[in-house]
Amino acid sequence: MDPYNLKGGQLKILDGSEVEEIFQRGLDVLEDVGCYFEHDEALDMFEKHGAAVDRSDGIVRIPRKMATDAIDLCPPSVLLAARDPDKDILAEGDRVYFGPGTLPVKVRDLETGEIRNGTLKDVEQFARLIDALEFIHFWKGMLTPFDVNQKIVDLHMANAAFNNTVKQISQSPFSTAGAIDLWRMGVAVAGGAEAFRQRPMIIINMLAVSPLQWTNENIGAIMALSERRCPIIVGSEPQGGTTGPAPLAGQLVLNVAETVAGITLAQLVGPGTPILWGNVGSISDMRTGQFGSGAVELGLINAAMNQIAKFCKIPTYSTAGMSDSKVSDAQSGVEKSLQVLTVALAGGNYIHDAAGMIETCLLVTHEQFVIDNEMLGMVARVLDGIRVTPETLSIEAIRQVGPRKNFMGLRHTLDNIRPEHYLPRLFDRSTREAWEAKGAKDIQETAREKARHILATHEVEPLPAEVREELDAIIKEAEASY
Amino acid sequence: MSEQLLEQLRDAIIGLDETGAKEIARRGLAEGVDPLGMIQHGIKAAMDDIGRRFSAEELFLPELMLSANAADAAVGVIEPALIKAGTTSKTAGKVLLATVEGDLHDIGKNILALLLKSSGFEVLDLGVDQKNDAILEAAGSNEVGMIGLSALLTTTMHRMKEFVELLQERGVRDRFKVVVGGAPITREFSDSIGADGYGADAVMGVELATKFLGA
Repeated sequence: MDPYNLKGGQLKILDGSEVEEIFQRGLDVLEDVGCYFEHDEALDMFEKHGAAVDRSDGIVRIPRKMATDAIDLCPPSVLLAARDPDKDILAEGDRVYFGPGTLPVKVRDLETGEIRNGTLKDVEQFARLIDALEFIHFWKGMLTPFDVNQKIVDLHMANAAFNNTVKQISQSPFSTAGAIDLWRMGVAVAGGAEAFRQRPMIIINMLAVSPLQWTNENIGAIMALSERRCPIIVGSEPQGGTTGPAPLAGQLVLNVAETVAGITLAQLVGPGTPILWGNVGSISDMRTGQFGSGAVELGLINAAMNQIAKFCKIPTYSTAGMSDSKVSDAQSGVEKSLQVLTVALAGGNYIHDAAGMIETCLLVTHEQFVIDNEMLGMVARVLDGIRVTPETLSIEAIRQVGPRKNFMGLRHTLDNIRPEHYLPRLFDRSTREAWEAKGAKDIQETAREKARHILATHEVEPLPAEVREELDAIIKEAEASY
Repeated sequence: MSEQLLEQLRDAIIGLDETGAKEIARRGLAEGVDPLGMIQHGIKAAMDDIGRRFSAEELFLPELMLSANAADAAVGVIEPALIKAGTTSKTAGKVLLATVEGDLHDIGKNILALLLKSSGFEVLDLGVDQKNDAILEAAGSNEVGMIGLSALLTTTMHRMKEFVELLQERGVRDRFKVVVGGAPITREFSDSIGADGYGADAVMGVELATKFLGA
């Protein structure tokens, strides 16, 4: 199984007419209700291209044709380059990639077990952990470090990432200026603006605030990055029952309207800007109003969103693999696996939040990364499917063995273990006696040991010195000017 | 010359090359290499290495089986020369294996049989669904040193306890080492019925045979 050649698309939650229906109703909302844009230049841009802009309340009503023209300008295939070209991500069709997400504030200390605020050193360690875990394809700024200038946390995180993994990088900006600096960092790693166009070294995400509003900093970031044709994630995260309608179909309608509003702006500014259609939607638990991050509905919503975005021929940024459990336990195992399996089977191209987090996106732990990597490997095996060939149909082997014997001593068996069977490296399949002999450790302890081993032994190819200096200079400049 | 040939023999077995292992064994005999040395320092040494790596989960089951097949084939080539030389054909003692009455499962037992054979033990494999009386009779008449009983079903494992009791009743408990194995069998169970040893897998089975009967 090649972790960089995973394909989903086997699961369809909606039928074709439902996809079309949701998409069209989303465009209705954009035309009739409109979307709030907290940004004068954006309003000018919309007005110039013929949208109905109400200056008194900042609402833009986007005509259908303007929206569909923008959708058509989005490239159907988006290359997201990694420092190691073997780890490039090609977001297109039903290709599936996994990565962590986004901005938990707390970490469980690997040695003391204490739950504490994140530091930059933690972020660097997690980047190295991700670099070593084979089913985590990209870095997405996760743990927020509290020991750096809080205005430029985004730049410090990206710097930690570029220095500590050769995998693909994604980061949420903390401001418009931050978004531009993140792009500059990507350019530095790529080796210049032209090299960045060919091999973009970072993707930056901007989400609408549901319902139906794009805030000033995010609009500024979309416009600045589109102008530079930097790959961006445009999406929204309505929570059913609070910031979105309770029915899942209604949430999808809202996600279409909010996302397409952002995409339209991006394509008006920079035609052909590479975009991933994002969805971070879930439901709120209406007993408390709290975000249901581990909700099974999140998987459904994201699977359906993939169908809609693919209908528009736009690659996707999906969400799956979150949990509301406070510890790495049965609850987190079930919540995460169900979401990831559902969205991966739907062909989510860039599935974030798939590793590391528990406690409703507030806590990140090393052991959870290692456990999730195993879960992602198992999901990858599902995606790999069943190959039906003369070799795998095994007629010759069955004939050779015949009734009443077994297949253990066949070359055919040996040759087909690795291509056909996923071999867990973390999960324990031994007998109770063997397990007890190894110390009767639970999965958390086993995972912690593996994380410690990785951090003690895994080395990452360093950035060239001049690139390191360039990144440091960008941060230094930002420290002075923000 | 002989060292090089032994190394080739080990490599062939570890490389799962049955044809090669036989060919090298034949060449060894033709070149006058000591047959017993070939078994001990070539074949058994290779299988010890395979067993260690299998236990460490570095090898797959088919690799264990295929290497044991290669080893067994090479033993088959060398055996006649040993007999001719008046040496016993086997370097180690005799082991009886059986799946207990009411149980038809034999995969694990068969792996053990192959591994024991390729490690130089003589194996008397009675097969599946064997009554305790029949097992004891065969053990007595064939003068085996160790009896290995296998069960997969929790409903048949009590036969093992009854077998040990039978040995006691007949006053022959000291004549045989009794080892037990199979999916539901644990060391605790083995101890509780008074067996001499418990093997979680075939490699442990060979270790027990080596311990009780010598290599």
